[in-house]
Amino acid sequence: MPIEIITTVEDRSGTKGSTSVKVLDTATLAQLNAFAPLWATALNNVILGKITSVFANLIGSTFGITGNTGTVDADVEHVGKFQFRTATGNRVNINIPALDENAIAAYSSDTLDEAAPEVAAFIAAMETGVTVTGGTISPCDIGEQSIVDTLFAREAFRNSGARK
Amino acid sequence: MDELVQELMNLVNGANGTMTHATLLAAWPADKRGALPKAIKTARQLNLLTQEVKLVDGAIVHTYKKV
Repeated sequence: MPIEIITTVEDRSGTKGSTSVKVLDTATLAQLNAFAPLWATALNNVILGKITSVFANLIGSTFGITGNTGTVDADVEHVGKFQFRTATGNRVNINIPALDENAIAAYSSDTLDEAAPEVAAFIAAMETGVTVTGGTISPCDIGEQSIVDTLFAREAFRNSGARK
Repeated sequence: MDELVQELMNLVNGANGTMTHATLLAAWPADKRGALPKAIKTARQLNLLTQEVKLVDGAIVHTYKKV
Protein backbone atom coordinates (compact mmCIF):
# COMPACT_ATOMS: atom_id res chain seq x y z
CA MET A 1 0.00 0.00 0.00
CA PRO A 2 2.05 3.01 -1.18
CA ILE A 3 1.97 6.31 0.66
CA GLU A 4 1.08 9.31 -1.48
CA ILE A 5 2.58 12.70 -0.64
CA ILE A 6 0.38 15.49 -2.01
CA THR A 7 1.77 19.01 -2.09
CA THR A 8 -0.53 21.95 -2.81
CA VAL A 9 0.88 25.11 -4.35
CA GLU A 10 -0.82 28.51 -4.60
CA ASP A 11 0.02 31.04 -7.30
CA ARG A 12 -0.14 34.84 -7.21
CA SER A 13 -3.87 34.87 -8.02
CA GLY A 14 -4.66 32.39 -5.24
CA THR A 15 -5.32 29.55 -7.67
CA LYS A 16 -4.23 26.20 -6.31
CA GLY A 17 -2.52 23.33 -8.01
CA SER A 18 -1.15 20.13 -6.60
CA THR A 19 1.46 17.53 -7.32
CA SER A 20 1.94 14.12 -5.82
CA VAL A 21 4.63 11.53 -5.40
CA LYS A 22 4.32 8.01 -4.01
CA VAL A 23 6.74 6.50 -1.54
CA LEU A 24 7.06 2.96 -0.22
CA ASP A 25 4.97 2.07 2.84
CA THR A 26 8.11 0.92 4.69
CA ALA A 27 8.43 4.57 5.82
CA THR A 28 7.64 5.13 9.49
CA LEU A 29 5.59 8.07 10.76
CA ALA A 30 8.75 9.68 12.12
CA GLN A 31 10.44 9.30 8.76
CA LEU A 32 7.41 10.79 6.98
CA ASN A 33 7.46 13.73 9.39
CA ALA A 34 11.10 14.27 8.48
CA PHE A 35 10.44 13.73 4.79
CA ALA A 36 7.57 16.27 4.46
CA PRO A 37 9.53 19.49 5.09
CA LEU A 38 12.51 18.15 3.16
CA TRP A 39 10.31 17.34 0.17
CA ALA A 40 8.54 20.71 0.41
CA THR A 41 11.90 22.49 0.45
CA ALA A 42 13.13 20.53 -2.55
CA LEU A 43 9.96 21.48 -4.43
CA ASN A 44 10.08 25.06 -3.23
CA ASN A 45 13.53 25.42 -4.74
CA VAL A 46 12.19 24.78 -8.23
CA ILE A 47 8.89 26.66 -8.13
CA LEU A 48 7.67 30.24 -7.71
CA GLY A 49 4.36 29.48 -5.98
CA LYS A 50 3.67 29.22 -2.27
CA ILE A 51 3.41 25.73 -0.79
CA THR A 52 0.26 25.72 1.33
CA SER A 53 0.12 22.09 2.45
CA VAL A 54 1.85 18.74 2.31
CA PHE A 55 -0.32 15.71 2.94
CA ALA A 56 0.68 12.09 3.26
CA ASN A 57 -2.04 9.75 2.08
CA LEU A 58 -2.07 6.01 2.50
CA ILE A 59 -3.71 4.56 -0.56
CA GLY A 60 -5.96 1.84 0.81
CA SER A 61 -6.86 -1.19 -1.23
CA THR A 62 -10.53 -1.77 -1.93
CA PHE A 63 -9.83 -5.28 -3.16
CA GLY A 64 -12.10 -7.77 -1.43
CA ILE A 65 -14.82 -5.34 -0.32
CA THR A 66 -18.00 -7.32 -0.60
CA GLY A 67 -20.94 -5.76 -2.41
CA ASN A 68 -18.88 -2.74 -3.51
CA THR A 69 -20.94 -2.02 -6.59
CA GLY A 70 -22.54 1.22 -7.74
CA THR A 71 -26.30 0.99 -7.99
CA VAL A 72 -28.70 2.96 -10.16
CA ASP A 73 -29.79 4.88 -7.06
CA ALA A 74 -26.25 5.97 -6.08
CA ASP A 75 -25.92 9.76 -6.13
CA VAL A 76 -22.87 11.59 -4.80
CA GLU A 77 -24.99 14.69 -4.22
CA HIS A 78 -26.99 12.73 -1.63
CA VAL A 79 -24.80 13.05 1.43
CA GLY A 80 -24.61 11.59 4.93
CA LYS A 81 -23.53 14.51 7.11
CA PHE A 82 -21.96 13.65 10.47
CA GLN A 83 -20.58 15.87 13.18
CA PHE A 84 -18.56 14.41 16.05
CA ARG A 85 -16.98 15.95 19.13
CA THR A 86 -13.63 15.25 20.72
CA ALA A 87 -12.87 15.25 24.45
CA THR A 88 -11.53 18.80 24.14
CA GLY A 89 -14.70 19.99 22.43
CA ASN A 90 -13.40 20.23 18.87
CA ARG A 91 -15.86 19.30 16.17
CA VAL A 92 -15.00 16.78 13.48
CA ASN A 93 -17.16 16.88 10.36
CA ILE A 94 -17.43 14.14 7.82
CA ASN A 95 -19.64 14.08 4.74
CA ILE A 96 -20.20 10.79 2.99
CA PRO A 97 -21.28 10.96 -0.64
CA ALA A 98 -23.86 8.60 -2.21
CA LEU A 99 -25.71 7.88 1.01
CA ASP A 100 -27.95 4.80 1.12
CA GLU A 101 -31.59 5.87 1.59
CA ASN A 102 -31.97 2.96 4.02
CA ALA A 103 -29.76 4.83 6.49
CA ILE A 104 -32.48 7.42 7.05
CA ALA A 105 -34.74 7.00 10.08
CA ALA A 106 -38.05 7.89 8.43
CA TYR A 107 -39.32 8.98 5.03
CA SER A 108 -40.19 12.50 6.19
CA SER A 109 -37.05 12.98 8.26
CA ASP A 110 -33.47 13.99 7.51
CA THR A 111 -32.19 12.24 10.63
CA LEU A 112 -30.10 9.12 10.11
CA ASP A 113 -31.16 5.96 11.91
CA GLU A 114 -28.36 5.62 14.46
CA ALA A 115 -29.85 2.34 15.66
CA ALA A 116 -29.53 0.71 12.23
CA PRO A 117 -26.61 -1.76 12.30
CA GLU A 118 -24.76 -0.14 9.38
CA VAL A 119 -25.07 3.40 10.76
CA ALA A 120 -24.31 2.29 14.33
CA ALA A 121 -21.18 0.46 13.17
CA PHE A 122 -19.98 3.52 11.24
CA ILE A 123 -20.53 5.79 14.24
CA ALA A 124 -18.84 3.26 16.55
CA ALA A 125 -15.87 3.12 14.17
CA MET A 126 -15.62 6.92 14.36
CA GLU A 127 -16.08 7.11 18.15
CA THR A 128 -14.03 4.16 19.35
CA GLY A 129 -11.99 3.23 16.32
CA VAL A 130 -11.55 -0.02 14.47
CA THR A 131 -9.82 -3.02 15.99
CA VAL A 132 -6.94 -4.35 13.91
CA THR A 133 -4.19 -6.84 14.73
CA GLY A 134 -2.06 -5.29 17.44
CA GLY A 135 -4.30 -2.36 18.36
CA THR A 136 -7.09 0.04 17.50
CA ILE A 137 -7.07 2.70 14.80
CA SER A 138 -9.08 5.72 16.00
CA PRO A 139 -10.23 8.71 13.96
CA CYS A 140 -9.20 12.01 15.56
CA ASP A 141 -9.23 15.76 15.04
CA ILE A 142 -6.35 17.86 13.73
CA GLY A 143 -4.97 18.05 17.29
CA GLU A 144 -4.92 14.22 17.51
CA GLN A 145 -7.78 14.19 20.03
CA SER A 146 -10.00 11.12 19.82
CA ILE A 147 -13.69 11.43 19.07
CA VAL A 148 -15.94 10.83 22.08
CA ASP A 149 -19.42 11.80 20.95
CA THR A 150 -21.76 12.19 17.97
CA LEU A 151 -23.46 15.56 17.73
CA PHE A 152 -25.64 14.80 14.71
CA ALA A 153 -26.05 12.42 11.80
CA ARG A 154 -28.33 13.59 9.04
CA GLU A 155 -29.11 13.52 5.38
CA ALA A 156 -28.13 16.44 3.16
CA PHE A 157 -27.87 17.33 -0.49
CA ARG A 158 -24.75 18.98 -1.88
CA ASN A 159 -24.28 20.35 -5.35
CA SER A 160 -21.27 18.58 -6.81
CA GLY A 161 -21.23 20.86 -9.85
CA ALA A 162 -20.93 17.80 -12.03
CA ARG A 163 -24.43 16.37 -12.11
CA LYS A 164 -25.25 14.58 -15.37
CA MET B 1 -29.55 4.25 36.71
CA ASP B 2 -31.64 5.30 33.71
CA GLU B 3 -34.41 2.78 33.00
CA LEU B 4 -33.37 2.31 29.37
CA VAL B 5 -29.74 1.83 30.33
CA GLN B 6 -30.84 -0.78 32.85
CA GLU B 7 -32.89 -2.51 30.16
CA LEU B 8 -29.88 -2.44 27.83
CA MET B 9 -27.57 -3.88 30.47
CA ASN B 10 -30.10 -6.60 31.29
CA LEU B 11 -30.02 -7.69 27.64
CA VAL B 12 -26.22 -7.66 27.49
CA ASN B 13 -25.94 -9.47 30.84
CA GLY B 14 -28.46 -12.03 29.60
CA ALA B 15 -26.13 -12.76 26.70
CA ASN B 16 -23.16 -13.48 28.99
CA GLY B 17 -21.93 -9.91 28.75
CA THR B 18 -21.25 -9.87 25.00
CA MET B 19 -23.65 -8.97 22.22
CA THR B 20 -23.46 -7.83 18.61
CA HIS B 21 -25.37 -4.70 17.65
CA ALA B 22 -27.58 -6.69 15.27
CA THR B 23 -28.56 -9.12 18.06
CA LEU B 24 -29.14 -6.29 20.49
CA LEU B 25 -31.34 -4.45 17.99
CA ALA B 26 -33.38 -7.60 17.42
CA ALA B 27 -33.92 -8.05 21.17
CA TRP B 28 -34.57 -4.37 21.89
CA PRO B 29 -38.26 -3.27 22.05
CA ALA B 30 -39.26 -1.97 18.61
CA ASP B 31 -41.21 0.96 20.05
CA LYS B 32 -38.04 2.21 21.78
CA ARG B 33 -35.75 1.85 18.76
CA GLY B 34 -35.04 5.58 18.60
CA ALA B 35 -33.83 5.56 22.21
CA LEU B 36 -31.29 2.74 21.72
CA PRO B 37 -28.35 4.90 20.53
CA LYS B 38 -28.73 7.20 23.55
CA ALA B 39 -28.94 4.25 25.95
CA ILE B 40 -25.75 2.79 24.44
CA LYS B 41 -24.02 6.15 24.64
CA THR B 42 -25.01 6.62 28.28
CA ALA B 43 -23.92 3.09 29.20
CA ARG B 44 -20.56 3.72 27.57
CA GLN B 45 -20.16 7.06 29.34
CA LEU B 46 -20.97 5.34 32.65
CA ASN B 47 -18.28 2.79 31.84
CA LEU B 48 -20.76 -0.07 31.92
CA LEU B 49 -20.18 -1.05 28.33
CA THR B 50 -17.41 -1.04 25.74
CA GLN B 51 -17.82 -1.47 22.01
CA GLU B 52 -15.60 -2.90 19.32
CA VAL B 53 -15.74 -2.72 15.54
CA LYS B 54 -13.71 -5.17 13.48
CA LEU B 55 -13.68 -6.83 10.10
CA VAL B 56 -14.34 -10.58 10.10
CA ASP B 57 -14.32 -12.41 6.75
CA GLY B 58 -15.05 -9.18 4.89
CA ALA B 59 -17.95 -8.13 7.12
CA ILE B 60 -18.11 -5.53 9.90
CA VAL B 61 -18.78 -7.02 13.33
CA HIS B 62 -19.92 -4.47 15.91
CA THR B 63 -19.90 -5.91 19.41
CA TYR B 64 -20.73 -4.63 22.91
CA LYS B 65 -19.07 -6.01 26.00
CA LYS B 66 -20.02 -5.51 29.63
CA VAL B 67 -17.20 -3.89 31.60
